[in-house]
Amino acid sequence: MTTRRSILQSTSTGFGWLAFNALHQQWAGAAAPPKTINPLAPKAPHFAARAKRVIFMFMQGGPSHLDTFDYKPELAKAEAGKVQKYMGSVFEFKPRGKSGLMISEAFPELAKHADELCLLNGMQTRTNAHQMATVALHIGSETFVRPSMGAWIVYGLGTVAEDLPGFVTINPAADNGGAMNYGSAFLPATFQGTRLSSGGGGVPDLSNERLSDAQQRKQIEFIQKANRRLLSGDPGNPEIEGIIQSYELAYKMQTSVPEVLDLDKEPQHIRELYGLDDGSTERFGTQCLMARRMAEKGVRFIQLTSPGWDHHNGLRDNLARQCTSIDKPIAGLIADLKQRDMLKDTLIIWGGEFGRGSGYDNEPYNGRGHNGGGYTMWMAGGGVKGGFTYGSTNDLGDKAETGIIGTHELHATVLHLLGMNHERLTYRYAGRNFRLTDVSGEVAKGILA
Amino acid sequence: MYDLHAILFFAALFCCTSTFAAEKYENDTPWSYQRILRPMVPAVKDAAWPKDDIDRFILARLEKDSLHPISDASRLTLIRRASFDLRGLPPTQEEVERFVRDSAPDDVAFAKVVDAFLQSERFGERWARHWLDVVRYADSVGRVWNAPFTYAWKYRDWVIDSLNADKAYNRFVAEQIAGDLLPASNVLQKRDQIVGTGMLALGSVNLQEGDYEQFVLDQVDDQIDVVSRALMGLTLSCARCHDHKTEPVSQKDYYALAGIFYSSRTLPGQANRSDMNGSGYVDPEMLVDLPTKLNEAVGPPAKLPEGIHSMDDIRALGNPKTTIRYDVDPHFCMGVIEGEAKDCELAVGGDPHDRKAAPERGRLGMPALPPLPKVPAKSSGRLELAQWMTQPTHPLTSRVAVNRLWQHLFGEGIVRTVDDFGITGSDPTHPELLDHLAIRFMEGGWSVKKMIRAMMLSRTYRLASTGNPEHPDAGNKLRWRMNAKRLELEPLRDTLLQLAGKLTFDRPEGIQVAGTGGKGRHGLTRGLLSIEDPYRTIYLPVVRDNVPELFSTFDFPGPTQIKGQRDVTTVAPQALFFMNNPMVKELAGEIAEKAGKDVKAVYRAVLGREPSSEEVRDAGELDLQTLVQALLGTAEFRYAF
Repeated sequence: MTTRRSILQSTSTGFGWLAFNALHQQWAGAAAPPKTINPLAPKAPHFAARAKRVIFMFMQGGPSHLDTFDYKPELAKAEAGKVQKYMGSVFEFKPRGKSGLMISEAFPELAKHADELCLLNGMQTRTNAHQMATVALHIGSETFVRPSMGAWIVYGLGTVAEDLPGFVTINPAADNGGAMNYGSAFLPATFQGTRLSSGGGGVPDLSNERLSDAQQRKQIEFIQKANRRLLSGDPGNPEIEGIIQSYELAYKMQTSVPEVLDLDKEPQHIRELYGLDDGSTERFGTQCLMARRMAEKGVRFIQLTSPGWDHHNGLRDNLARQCTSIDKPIAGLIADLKQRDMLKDTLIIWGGEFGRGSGYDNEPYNGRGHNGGGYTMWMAGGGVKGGFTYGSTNDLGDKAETGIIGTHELHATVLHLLGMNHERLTYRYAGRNFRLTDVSGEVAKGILA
Repeated sequence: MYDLHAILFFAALFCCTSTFAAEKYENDTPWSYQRILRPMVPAVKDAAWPKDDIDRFILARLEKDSLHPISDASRLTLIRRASFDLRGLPPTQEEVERFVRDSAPDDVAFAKVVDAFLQSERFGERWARHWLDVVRYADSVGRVWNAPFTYAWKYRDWVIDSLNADKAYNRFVAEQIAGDLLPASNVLQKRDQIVGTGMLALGSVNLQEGDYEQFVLDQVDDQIDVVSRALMGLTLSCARCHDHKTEPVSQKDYYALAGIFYSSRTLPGQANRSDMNGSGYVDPEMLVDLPTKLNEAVGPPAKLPEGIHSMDDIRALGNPKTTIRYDVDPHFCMGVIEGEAKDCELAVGGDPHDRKAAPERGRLGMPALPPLPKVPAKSSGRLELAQWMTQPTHPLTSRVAVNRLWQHLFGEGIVRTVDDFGITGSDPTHPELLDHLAIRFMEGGWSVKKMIRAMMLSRTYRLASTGNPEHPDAGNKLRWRMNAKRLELEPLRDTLLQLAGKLTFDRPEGIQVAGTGGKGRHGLTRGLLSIEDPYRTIYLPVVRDNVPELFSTFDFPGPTQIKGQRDVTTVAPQALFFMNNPMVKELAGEIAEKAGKDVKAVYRAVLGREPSSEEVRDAGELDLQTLVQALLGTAEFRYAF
C-alpha cells in the first residue's frame, strides 16, 4: 500500500508534492500556487531546452566593442582623415578560426575558441548611464524594481543542485543597483541570488565550532524526532514535513558547499588552464573555475563580475590589462567545459551594460565615452551557433543597424535557450501577471544552432 | 475637539448629491466596489457554539457543507498564540501559569489576557511592522543612487505610537495622506499628523533620473500605487500608460488622481540630480520643518541648523577613519506638503513628453464608488482624497483594513489576495462576514484594537490548529480550524533575545543609517545597527538592496514592494541558521544558563511547557546548551499553533 510516508520517502521533493496535493483541490484555479510547495524543486521547462544552466560574465563599466569584437575599418579611416573626433581601434583585428570571426589582438587566448563564439554585434540598451543600464541588463527595467534574470530563471526551472543555491553571484558590485541586480523583488526571497566571494565564504552558517560532527548529528536527530512527533499529532500540516527535509539538506550543505568551493581539489594543470598561477589572471580565473565546479553540480544560474571596464581615459593600456585579466580564464573555462562535454548545455553570456563611443572622449585619442546605441555581447555553448556573427552596427560602430538585440530581446532569447517561453514565465503580483520581458521582446532565432 | 468622523460623514452626504457624467468602461465592476450593506447575521443549528456574530457567519457556512468546527485549543496553546499575535513575543512563564490556573470561565479568563496584551506597548511594535510591509517602508531610497532616508524612523515610530494609542483607523489613514492639511487643536497634534505624511515620501525612485518630468511622474506613480493598493486594494497604477486591462479604471482616472500628487511637494530629504540646490543627494532642504506654532506655514527649513545633515556636509569632512553620523534635528521629518496646484496632463502611453488634455484632478469616475469631493482651485486635493477614502460610504477602505487584521490573526485573509480586491484578486470566502466586520469596524469608531479584540474573543480564533489531510476542506478555506502560523523574522529574533534576557524595549537614539548613496567608506549607505544589537527587529534599519542576509532567509519582504502577505518558505539556510549561527549559539548558551539546571526548566523556558518522559529521556543525550539550541530549531518553536 502506498502510504503518505512512503511517497514522501520516495521522492526528493516529497514535501512539496504533499502540500500541493493537499491544497490543490481547495485552491484549484487560484492565482498563486500554494505557498508550501518546495519553491526550488526542479520544474519542467515549457519545451525542450538547449541549455540547462547559465554562466553570465558581467563586464562592469561597458567594455569597448570597437577595440575587441566589432571590427570597423571605416573608423580607422575616419581617424586618419581627422574627421570630427572619430577614433579607430587601438588594437589590430584578425580573422580567427575556421569561421574567420574578427577578434582583436586583445583576446589572443579566447580567439582560439572563435568557432565556439556567437558575437551579438547589434546589442542596444536604452540609456548611457552606468547605473540604469546595469540595472536594466539584470532586471529588465531601468524604471521599476523587478526580479533579476537569475531569480526568474530559478523561479521557472527550480534547481537540480538541491544541496547548493540555485542562483549564485560571485563578487557582485555593491553599487550600480547592488543587490537589486540579483534580487527577487516580488518573487519569494528564496529565488534571489546567493552572494559568494572568490576569497571563500558566502553561504552563511555552514560550520559549527562548538559541536563535533557526531554531536551535531545527535542534535539534529533530536530535532527531527521532535518534528516527527509533532507531525504525527498534526498530520495536516505539510510545512512540518518541509522543515524536516530542510534539516537533512542543511546537514548535507555543510560539506557539499565548502567542497564545491574548494579549488585546491583541482589538479595543477586545470588551475593553470584557468590562469590561477598568474597574478594578472588569478582573480577572474578563480571565478571561472568556481563557476565550472558549480555548473557541474547543477547550479542553474551563475554570475561572475569583472569590474573596471569604464575606459574614458588610457584606453589602450587599461583595456589591454582588463582583457588580459579575463582572456585566459574564459578560454580555460570554454576548453574545460568542452572536454567535460558540458559546453553544449551550458550557456555562457559575456558583456557589459553598454559599449563605447566611436569618438574619443576627453583627451584626443585617449579614451571613449559610453555608447548604448550599439555594442557587442557574445554567447557560447548552450545551443547557440558557434563561429557566428549576429547583427551589426553602422560603419562607425555606434549604432546597431541589423539583428538588434535590446534588453527584452536578450532576456527572451536566454529564456528560450533554457526552454522557456518568455511570455509564459509569469508571476501574479499587484493584480497582474509580470514577466521578465515586460510587454515586448523577441527571441533572436537567428542565433539558435 | 475636532471630529473627523462626523465631518467626513457630512461631506459624504453632501457630495453624493453631485453627480459626474458616467465614464464608459468595458470591464465589469468588481464586487468590492459595491456599497457595503449590513448583512443579516445567519441562524445556526448549533446555537451553543458561537460566542460572537463572527462565529455565526463561520458556523453557518460550515453547516451548509455539513461540517463542524474542531475543538478549542488548550489554554497553553491559546496564550502562546495570542501573545505572538499581539506582542510578537512569547508569554512569560508567570503569564502562562496565571492563565492556565485561572478558575474563571474561558471567555472571561481569555478576555483578561487579550486586554492586557492589547495594552502593552509591544502591541504597537508588533503591528506596526505589518503596516510597514504594506507601505514599502525603508531607510534608504534604493535604486541607482541609494541615498539614505535620514528621517524614515520618525514615520516608523509614528506608526508604532499611533497603533499603541489606538488612533482611529480613518484618522490614521487621513493623516498619512493629508496630515499637513487636517485641522489640529494644538501644535503637538499638528506636528504629529504631518509626520504621518512621511508614508507618501518613502517610495523607491531613481535620484539619477536625468529627465525631471519622468522623475516626478515616477514619484507620483509610487504614491498612487501605495495609496490605491495599500489602502484600497486597487491596482490603479496599472492605468498609467493605458486604460486598466481588467478593472473599470481608465487612464483618465489615473491622471485625475495623479493631479493630486502632482500638485503636492514630496520632501523625502533627498534631491533628484536635476533639482539639487547645493547639498547633494541627501538634502535637508528637501525635508519638512515641523511648525512650532499652530498656524505656521509648513515647508522645508528656512535656515539650516549646524551639524551634519547633507551629503555635502559629509563630503566636506574628507575621509576620516571612523563612521560619520548624521545629526538629528528634532524639527525635521519626511513628508508631503502642498505644491503648485495644477492638473496633470495625461501621458500618452506613459510617455512624459507626449501629453494630452489633463483631466480635472480628483475627478474619478470609477463605477459604483462615491465621487470625490470637488477639489478647490488652489488645493492639491489630498484633503479631499483623504475625506473620500475614509468616509463610511467608501466600500474599500474599511473592507481592506479588516481583511488585513483578519489575515494577521487567522493566517489568511477572507480575501486571500489582501492587496488586490479587484477582478484579478480572489473572491472573499465569507463575503457577508467581511461586510459585517467592516461595518462593525466603522461603528466602533474605526478602532483597530476593538476590532482585533472582537476577532480574538470569537470562538473561531480559539480553535485548535490540528489539520487533517482527509478532511473535505483540508485547506481550511471555511475555517473549521485555526491555521498554524510560522513565526516571522521579527518575533523569531526578538524571542531569541528575550529568552536570553538580552532584549531591550528602548528605541535606538539618533539616525541609524550612514552613507550618502555613493561608493567608498563614507558613501555606501548602510545601517549602523546589526542583528546582534539588542533592539527589537522593527528598530533595525532597512537599507534597500542591502538588507541583512538573515532577513531574506526568513522571508522579509523586499522593501521596495507593497507586500501585505509575506511568503512562507522552508529552505535549508533557515535550518543552518538554527544549527550554526554564532548568535544563536551564544543566545542558546545564555538561555540554558538562565533556565537553570534541568531539562524540564529548559522546556518551560523555550517552549513554555513540561516535557514528556520520552522527551526527558531523549534530551539526556544532549548538554543543556545543545538542547536549547535544538529546541529553538524545532517546528514547535518556529510556529504559533
